Amino acid sequence: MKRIPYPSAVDLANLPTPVDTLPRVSQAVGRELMIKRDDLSGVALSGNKVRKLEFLLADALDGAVTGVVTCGGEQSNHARATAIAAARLGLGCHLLLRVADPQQPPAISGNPLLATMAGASIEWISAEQYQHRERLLAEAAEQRGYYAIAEGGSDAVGAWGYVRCAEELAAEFGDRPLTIVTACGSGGTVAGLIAGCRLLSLPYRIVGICVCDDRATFQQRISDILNQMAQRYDVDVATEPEGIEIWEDYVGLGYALSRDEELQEMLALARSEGIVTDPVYSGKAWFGLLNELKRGRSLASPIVFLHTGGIFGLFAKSEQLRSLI
Amino acid sequence: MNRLSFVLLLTLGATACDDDVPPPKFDGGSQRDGQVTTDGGGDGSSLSDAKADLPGADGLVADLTFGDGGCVIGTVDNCTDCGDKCAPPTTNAASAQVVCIGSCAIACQGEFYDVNGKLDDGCEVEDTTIQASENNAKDLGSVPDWNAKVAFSGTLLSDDRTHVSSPSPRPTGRPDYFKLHVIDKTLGNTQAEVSLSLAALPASVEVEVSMKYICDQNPQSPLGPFTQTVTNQGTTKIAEKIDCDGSGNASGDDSGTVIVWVRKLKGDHSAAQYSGSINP
Repeated sequence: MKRIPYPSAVDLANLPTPVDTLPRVSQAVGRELMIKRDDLSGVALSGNKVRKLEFLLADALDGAVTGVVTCGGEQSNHARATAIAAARLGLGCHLLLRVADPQQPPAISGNPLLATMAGASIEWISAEQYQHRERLLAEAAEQRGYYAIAEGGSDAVGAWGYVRCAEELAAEFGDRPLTIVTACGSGGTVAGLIAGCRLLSLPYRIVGICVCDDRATFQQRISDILNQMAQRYDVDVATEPEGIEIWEDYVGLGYALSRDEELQEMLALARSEGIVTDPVYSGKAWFGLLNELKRGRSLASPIVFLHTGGIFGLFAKSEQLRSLI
Repeated sequence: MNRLSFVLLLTLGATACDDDVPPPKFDGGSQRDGQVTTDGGGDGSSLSDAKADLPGADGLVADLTFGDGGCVIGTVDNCTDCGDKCAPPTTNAASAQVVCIGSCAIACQGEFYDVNGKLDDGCEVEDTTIQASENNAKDLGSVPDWNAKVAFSGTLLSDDRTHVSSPSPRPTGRPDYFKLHVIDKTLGNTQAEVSLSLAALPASVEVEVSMKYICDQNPQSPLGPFTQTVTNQGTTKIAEKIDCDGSGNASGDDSGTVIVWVRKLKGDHSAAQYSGSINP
């Protein structure tokens, strides 16, 4: 296998994560389905964000900062993971989290609860302010002498986390044809997988199912990340937007809003295979994958669904879920 | 369990018996390649080595601050940063409550006003005026139309604070209403004249005075209102000829009630003293 020129990283995640078979689901849909368990990359510090943070926080430490600042939605998994990872490294952490009305903030629960437990300070900001998140992040970072981490950890540095994931998959599956399907919320995971496959010359098909925005937005965002990786690290991963496969039909009611049919499929997966997904990312993408298989979409087997974690977001949906149980 | 957690637990257990242990040094440690390490002496192979490197050897770890403090910024306990607690006013504490709106501030209770803009004395002036509507207008009595003018005065309070309850317009405070009944003894020309002057105030203060006339013989159709504004130390006057029957004939009975009200349009933190007169 080719040697990958990784940038420096800190060790935060329990890797490699396992790949589980899904025998009962595979039988039901008539296809060989497996699941890459990045939800098992840790406990409080779990999910896809940890892989990105291994590289991002190494980059931060290289800059000799005393803390990090990042942003996300109210129940941001990335923000929670950043807070806990920062605490693991003795760094400060400041979070800008989007809520409907910062003057009427929600009670602290789920991810923000874990983040504050780990010592992060939280600043609620409005959706309007969030549109200027890059500027707000830069200002907060400068004010505190911190390192700014982009939304979702999705940039040219964080994407290396999923180059490493592609390498793990290569160790598991070799160079046989494979389809990897995952949720796409900020683009870094898909960008890293594409980069990994390029660097290792793997014949894998990478599919991102967007949980917000649309195909064109993510194609451009992922292409930008790959082009920045190519430029910064001198690696051959630059990709045109049109070459990136994004399915856009499963945003549903919108970001972090769940339809009952999505939650029903989450329940079915939990009951048939004992695997719990989150409603914002993997639950929504899982529903999309099953629906496309039902429609007869042609995908090379085995199909590996990448579980990106985010279990703590589940508790914000407990009322809606209870009505279906 | 990683090594750092393990030695922390041991240290806590031993703290009560180890008062002679010197204050520890701790630089936050560093982590590379999966290893959590602490710097500052010792190889970590014994408990005494570990204690020298760790926080809390003289007290609980919870007494120390890690990270950014673990808080939600924007509350009165953590206004601009964790631990940035908003202090209540040192005087007139009951007149205000502490709020955080980007920085520490106060919200005034009901009709208390912060006329000097200072946080530490709260909302130091209460507006006890009850003449805040036409129904509650202060009654200046009844005079014949040839009588000398009748004086009135008051103070308009305002601030730019949020008020906890808002029974009347904010932030420019409540208006003051006055009424004077005029008896048209002469059955000649009646002219209602209102003048108003302000004491020395900041240039930003702007007060509006209004007048209307309710004819006794036709109370459903008041004349006016007629309005003027005045700023700073200025004076203003409203003078309107009254013709209750609309005939244009001066000989009719123009008896009625003059209603005058004064309200602040702009004023920020201020107590605007005014004096005026009604000259029928």
